[in-house]
Amino acid sequence: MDMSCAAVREILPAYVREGDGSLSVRRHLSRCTDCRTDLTHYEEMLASLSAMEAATAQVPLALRTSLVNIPTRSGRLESVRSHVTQNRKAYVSGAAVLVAGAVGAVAWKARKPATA
Amino acid sequence: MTPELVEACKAGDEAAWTQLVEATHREVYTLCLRILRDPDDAAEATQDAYLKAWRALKGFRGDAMFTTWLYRVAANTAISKHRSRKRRRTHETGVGDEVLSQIAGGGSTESAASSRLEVQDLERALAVLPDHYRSAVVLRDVYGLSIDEIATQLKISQTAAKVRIHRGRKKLKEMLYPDSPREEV
Repeated sequence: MDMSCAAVREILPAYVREGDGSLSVRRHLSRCTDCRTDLTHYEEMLASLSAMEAATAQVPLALRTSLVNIPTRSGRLESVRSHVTQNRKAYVSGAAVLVAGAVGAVAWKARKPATA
Repeated sequence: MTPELVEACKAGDEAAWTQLVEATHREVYTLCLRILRDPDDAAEATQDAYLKAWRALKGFRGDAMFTTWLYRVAANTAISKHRSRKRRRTHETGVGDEVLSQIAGGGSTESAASSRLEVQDLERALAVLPDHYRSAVVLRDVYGLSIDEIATQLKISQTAAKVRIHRGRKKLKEMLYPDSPREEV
């Protein structure tokens, strides 16, 4: 039995792109002008879509510069990160001394009015 | 894009990186623009994509083409951005016009000229295609990503990806060929 136009047209995009065409689809296409027109439209549309990859937009100049500078920026960030990692003990100790100092100062200030 | 150039980038050669950016950034920016339809968002996504690519380069084993890998990174970044900015959706026709003027302004359309549909007509039709169909069609039919890759990027099943591509193509065809023969039921 011949396939209906609706059934054939459901398959047409995949038929064009992936070559999924059974004998019954091809038989229908050989007889049906409307479906052949639809096939031509899909062929043209999909070929045009493929060609769009080469049609590129104008890139903002600042973006290009920023992309080129990624290794430098990333390198600077990495060196800060690795410096902090390597000297973590020193930074933690320093921070602890600062916190202890601040706590001591607050405690000392809080005690002062009571002794006066 | 030669494997030697990619290898040089992996070794941290900054001059090679400049060449790589020069050879690919127009395509990557345009891919982001086609998904996001906003030049500022596209520029931001492109920047994030290249930063990710630079950090992940060491893991690139060369089993896929480098540009395909880069498109995958860019698509992933643009789609994530698209999800997070859904709150400030712009009127699609207006945004599409801005994108169109950008692509028409700097477009290297020589290879597209051989096909009969104008790039501007395609861009206009893509601009009014619902977001979920547009991303799927652009990734499949413009950038040649596989169904599997598209499903992963869009976080949907392969069947859902196929359905989106199919429906998107159908809608696009209806817009581009309004006089196309009507389907018999």
